[in-house]
Amino acid sequence: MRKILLLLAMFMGFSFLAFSQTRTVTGTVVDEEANPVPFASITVKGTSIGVSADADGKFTIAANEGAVLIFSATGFDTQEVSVRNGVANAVLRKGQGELIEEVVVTALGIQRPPKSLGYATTKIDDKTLTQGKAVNVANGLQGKVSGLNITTINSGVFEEVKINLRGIRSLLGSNNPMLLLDGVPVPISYLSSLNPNDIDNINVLKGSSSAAIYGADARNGVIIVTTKKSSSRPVVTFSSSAQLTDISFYPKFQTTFGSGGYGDYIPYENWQWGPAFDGSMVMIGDPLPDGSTQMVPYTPNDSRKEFFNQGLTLQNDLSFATNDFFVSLSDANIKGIVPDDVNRRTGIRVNTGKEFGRVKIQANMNYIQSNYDIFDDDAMGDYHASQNVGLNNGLMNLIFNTPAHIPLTSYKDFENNPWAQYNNYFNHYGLNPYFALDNWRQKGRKQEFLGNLELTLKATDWLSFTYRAAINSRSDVYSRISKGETVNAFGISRGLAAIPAMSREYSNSSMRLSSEIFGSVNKDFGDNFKFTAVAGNYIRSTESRGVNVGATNLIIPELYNVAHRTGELVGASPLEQTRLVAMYASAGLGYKGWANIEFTGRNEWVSMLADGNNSYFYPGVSAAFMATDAINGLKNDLLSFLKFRAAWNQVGSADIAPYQLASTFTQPTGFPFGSIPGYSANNRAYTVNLKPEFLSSAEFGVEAGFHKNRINIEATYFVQQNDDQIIPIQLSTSTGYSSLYTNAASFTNKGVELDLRLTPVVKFRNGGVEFRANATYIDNKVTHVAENLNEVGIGGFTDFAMNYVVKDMPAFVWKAVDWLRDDRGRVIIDAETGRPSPNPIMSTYGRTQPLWIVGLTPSVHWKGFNLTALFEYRAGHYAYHGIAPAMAWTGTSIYTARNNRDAFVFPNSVYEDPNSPGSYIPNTNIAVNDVNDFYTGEYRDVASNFLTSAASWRFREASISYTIPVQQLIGETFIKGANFSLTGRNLILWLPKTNVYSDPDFNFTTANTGGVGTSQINPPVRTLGANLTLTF
Amino acid sequence: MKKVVYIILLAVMASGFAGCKKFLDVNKNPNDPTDESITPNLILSSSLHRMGSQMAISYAATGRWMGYWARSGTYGPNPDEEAYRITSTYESNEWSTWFDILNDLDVMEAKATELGEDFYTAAAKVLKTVGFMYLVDQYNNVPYTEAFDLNNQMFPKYDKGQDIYNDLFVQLDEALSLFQGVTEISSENEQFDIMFGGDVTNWIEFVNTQRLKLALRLVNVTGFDAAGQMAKITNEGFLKVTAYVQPGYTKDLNKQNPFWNSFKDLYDGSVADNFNRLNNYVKGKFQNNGDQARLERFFSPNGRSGTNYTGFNYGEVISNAPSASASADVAGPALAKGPDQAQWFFTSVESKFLQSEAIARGWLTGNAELSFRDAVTESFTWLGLTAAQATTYLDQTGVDIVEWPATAAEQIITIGMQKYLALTGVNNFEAWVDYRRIGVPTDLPLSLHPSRGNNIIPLRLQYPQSEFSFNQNSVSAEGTIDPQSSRIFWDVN
Repeated sequence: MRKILLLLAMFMGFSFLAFSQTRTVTGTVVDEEANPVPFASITVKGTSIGVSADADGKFTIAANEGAVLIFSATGFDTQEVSVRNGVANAVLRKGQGELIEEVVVTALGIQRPPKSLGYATTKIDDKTLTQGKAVNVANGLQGKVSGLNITTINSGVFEEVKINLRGIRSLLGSNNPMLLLDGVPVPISYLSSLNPNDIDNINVLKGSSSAAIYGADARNGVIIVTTKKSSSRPVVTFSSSAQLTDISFYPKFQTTFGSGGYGDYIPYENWQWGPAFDGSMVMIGDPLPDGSTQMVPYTPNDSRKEFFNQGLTLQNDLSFATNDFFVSLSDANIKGIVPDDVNRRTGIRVNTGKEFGRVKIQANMNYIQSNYDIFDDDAMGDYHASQNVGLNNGLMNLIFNTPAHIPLTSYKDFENNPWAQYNNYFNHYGLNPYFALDNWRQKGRKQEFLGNLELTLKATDWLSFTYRAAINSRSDVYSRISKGETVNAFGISRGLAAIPAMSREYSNSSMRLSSEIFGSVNKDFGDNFKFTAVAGNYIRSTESRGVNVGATNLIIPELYNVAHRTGELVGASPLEQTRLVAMYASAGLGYKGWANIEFTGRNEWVSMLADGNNSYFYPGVSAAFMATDAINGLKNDLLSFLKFRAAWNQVGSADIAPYQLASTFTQPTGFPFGSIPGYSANNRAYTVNLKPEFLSSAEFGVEAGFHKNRINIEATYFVQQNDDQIIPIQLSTSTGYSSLYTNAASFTNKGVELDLRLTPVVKFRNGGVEFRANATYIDNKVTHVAENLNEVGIGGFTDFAMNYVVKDMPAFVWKAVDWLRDDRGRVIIDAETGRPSPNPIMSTYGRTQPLWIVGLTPSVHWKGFNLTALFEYRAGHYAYHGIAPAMAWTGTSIYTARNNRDAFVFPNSVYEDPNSPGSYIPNTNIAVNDVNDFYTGEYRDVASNFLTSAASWRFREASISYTIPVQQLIGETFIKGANFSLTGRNLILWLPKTNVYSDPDFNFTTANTGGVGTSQINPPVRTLGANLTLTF
Repeated sequence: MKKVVYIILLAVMASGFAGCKKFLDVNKNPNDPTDESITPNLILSSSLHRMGSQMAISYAATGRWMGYWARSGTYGPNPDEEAYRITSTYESNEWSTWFDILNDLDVMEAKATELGEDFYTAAAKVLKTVGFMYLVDQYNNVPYTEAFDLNNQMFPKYDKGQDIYNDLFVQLDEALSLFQGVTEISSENEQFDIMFGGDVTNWIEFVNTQRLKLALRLVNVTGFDAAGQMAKITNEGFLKVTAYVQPGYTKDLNKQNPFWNSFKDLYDGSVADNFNRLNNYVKGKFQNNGDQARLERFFSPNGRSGTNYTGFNYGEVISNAPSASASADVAGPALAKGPDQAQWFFTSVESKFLQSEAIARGWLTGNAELSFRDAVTESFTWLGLTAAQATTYLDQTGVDIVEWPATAAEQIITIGMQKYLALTGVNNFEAWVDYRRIGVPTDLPLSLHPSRGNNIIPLRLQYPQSEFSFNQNSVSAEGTIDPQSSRIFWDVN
């Protein structure tokens, strides 16, 4: 109650002050390089009168001639200047300053002082972003922003990442935050191809509230990337880095037993159910037709781990910046850990702008080309499926399931080494992985062009209009080939078949055009009220088109043109188009810079929904209160600032692919046969009544600084209600369909984000220690699924273990096949065989999304040295390891060697009482009758055996950099600055003991299904590198 | 003036909205046709092909259980199959594939009914009886009355197998009467009937034969009115020649004859199947009874040339078992004639054996022994052998399985055994049905897999995992299903 009274008093104070004898004073705030300092705080000394400068550093304030104005801004020392002739200009020197006065880029590219914002934001500057020398902007952000969950899902040459802010808001739609590049929305995947060195800063707007004005795309938060555009003096920067990657974690193998079955040695098996290793010489494979045999010691070796290469990434960047002009060239050459996998990314960026009186024109262009050549694991999978050995799918299967005594790395030369050749390779059931890598390739070129043009008209000093047009064009042209291999009589006798020579050419392109026009009002009423408003219109059109043609049987060896084939051409020509129109407006009122409120509203029309459902409106409101500015005397040596904020909003979203309103038919495999077509209903049913998903979101935050901002704390609590989720409900196929795409489930998210900055923790001569920490806790709960339905499987690789949406449980949870148990949880075994059996009704396990994410960043700087580390922790969730059942089948997994493969009594088991069915007798003596069959049979079907905690601690980044004092060392030269750094990424991965398989973050898709590792995913890697940056 | 401004404003806004509407009107699917573009004939062609393919190739495991085929030494054992340990994931695509095919037929029936195209309505009805027969014979109770009605039934309840069979006979009645009313099929539409080319007489024969097949399933079901069903057989009689589907199979990816493609060669000429090989049980039945000729028509010799036919004992786990290329493949010259051969859908051989059993049971009139000899002769000629060879085979003395016994009960066993041999690899599913229905072959060995324990050849399949996951209430209402003891309703002993 006291606070409200106090507030009232302040408003009354305003009316009093308005009658004081003052004049209007104008001025500009610049830094030492004459660049304007935006949004500096200006107060009249001895009074409570204060204003903020605008984005150009200009301000007006009511003050008496001769009065002393106090200028303060983030990163600058405070300065006092007297008013002379109604003017007061300030030149601010870099220094500690007050962090809260930082400028952030918000919706529509409008710069705002953070104290006026009613929602959570985090700004990352270029230095923080690039400290670990990540090749990819997304990796550079990992662990640095609370609420931001970035997981690397594979360690291939593309470094695919999955990005979420504050968990999920859509069960199956996109949960990717919106990416705004220089004010223009672009696909999130662009973050993986952007050159981190081009970036000036990144601002993360976390909640949906933060960008209500952007509509549905922004409900998952917004990542605003501002590229470098300008420098007050000409600067050339050259940066070069080399990074080495090595595997940091392998699945745990058993190294006791070699190839064979049921204890017998079989020389050509990948089954490792043979006798124990004894060091004797054994034959592997079959004797060749010429009688020669391959003999090796029957002893385990390490060649499975030596199969992988050391990866190498070389990156060079050159940029030139001057007034309103920035150009950069970048080249990254990535050699993967999988032999022969390469990707080279080359990009050029030109940002330029010019002011003509009231009109400002800014044009940005970016072109990126990636040339890649990678192993085509899917094509190998298709081949294995055609050979009825689908289990061999995935490169890791070929490598990891090799028996331990096989000298795997000796089979590199599969052309000349007879034991490595296709027809002769020791294994009847698996290919030589070196041969496979050579045979199935995908080679291609991705090109991306992003151009945007921005025209700004400053109609008056309080009204401006902006028009932005943007084009984002991407193409991916690639070919997938299978070189083909003939089989000889010996090969046929070993059960091998020829591998057809095939080629398929793909040309995919997509184009996103957008046009946006808005007017913005920024007007002061009197000295105390500031009115801001925006109204605009946004139109977007996307089109993606693909054409692919293939030949399944090429004739001429090593000629991969589809013209030279037998049989029909295969191919397709998919096309997708979507359109969106939006009108939006916002209005905000600020009082003296310390009380701000803003209302927003938006209506969208989309092409993906039917007439009647395709127009929807949603409102929002946010408010901020800067207590230390508002309440006299609150600010003291202990408390530097205190801010409260709150926001509420709704977002409607139709984030679906087009053409999802009507069921379709397709020609089943084989059709058309010549002139005879045939059609079959597709398995997913659709409904024309689809409505948009709706999200209601509220957040409350407090930000505080202590001890002259040496300690900064920020905390946000948020709650989100998500309704009418568009999901495919899986169905009994007896309905005619396997799923129905419809509005169903609802769920609630609740969470807390915490940020702590200690800058510095300790200060000493020429240096200091800093510490930053962030933590995110997100819990969610499904409140409704659908009528008569309490759960829905949303996918996840196998029928045995799947991500599920279950009422009253978090989204998502694992459901997996478990052992059949009695009502006391004891495993029921067969009294004759001693073996348990799987329960077809799946059991529910833990969540697939982390409950906790913590990032810790200590750093030390001393003179030119800077040492930074980043640790990241995630916990509370579970992962399924798809390679594990295959490793059980072959007897590779460490678990299969438990108890030396002797018969054992299944722990905590019971069997049915023959005299009283339904009651169970504890089993103390009936042993599993066949360990080999147990692990290759029911053990594999029970997916809960392969679910582990997904918790992890990682030493994510470490870097030590040294700014070379060029001038001191060699005097005045053309070199203005030099910095050398050593960096490491993903240095250590700590996993719970039960996870003997892989990085739990690795996943088979960037979509929402989480925690599913497969045999196509590489092992996790660590990266060590060195970087040199020179400025001229 | 003010009015003019308002009018202009309104006009601008109206045109803006109209333009907006047009701008957003891009949601017509450019990739796949939707319901309104599909006609019944387009579904008939694809359904016939899919059913023919499903019946010919998806019962390899059944063939192994039934002593026709076995796993070659090239592959390791599959404990679930070979120890008869049937879980909810074993052959779960039986459920989904048949329901998928049946849904297409249901759409075809609905569209044809709406359009008044009786030929397609009737074809859909008779083909549906085939699909549901396969489902009931494997799962007993399955969704029927609540199937294919997504708008009203998201969780279809299961109907009793008996009730479904009862309705299948009704569907056959309706199909028959509709076919009888069809006078002409447009020549344009004949090509979509890739089985009978639009010949209504053939379709009526098919209805009659399917009725006989369904009726014989129910021989042990009390209260079944066999005479009533037999009375509905029309003058067109039963299938006299094999019903084949032939959309235009050719040597190309996904376009080969399904049997050839699965068990002989892939489109690029490489071996399609190194898994299934001759079973020593059926080998003995041919070789020990003066029937080498048929063995050599059903199976290929080792390495596809020569005179050796190496087989395997089902489920046996031995190291260094002969490899696939050193044993007899299951795509013998009479079954795998070429990648472009037509796919048998309902063989004349099966038709004759059904008639023979019905005569032996007194359901149809005729001489049982003559019809039996006729059926065996049909098997020989179907395989490209001569009637004279059949006569020689049948006239052997001291060979149990050709000797015509005195009692009807024994006759039925003999007919069943010869039917079993005649359909080797041709219709593996029928062997499993007859094994459960009349107990032939009487001396079929069980799997030698070490983990089999006391398991017997499964009596049915377990409901698929997808039902436990997505239709849990309905499947739970069936109680505990144990494929070792839960029987199909017609399997009364």
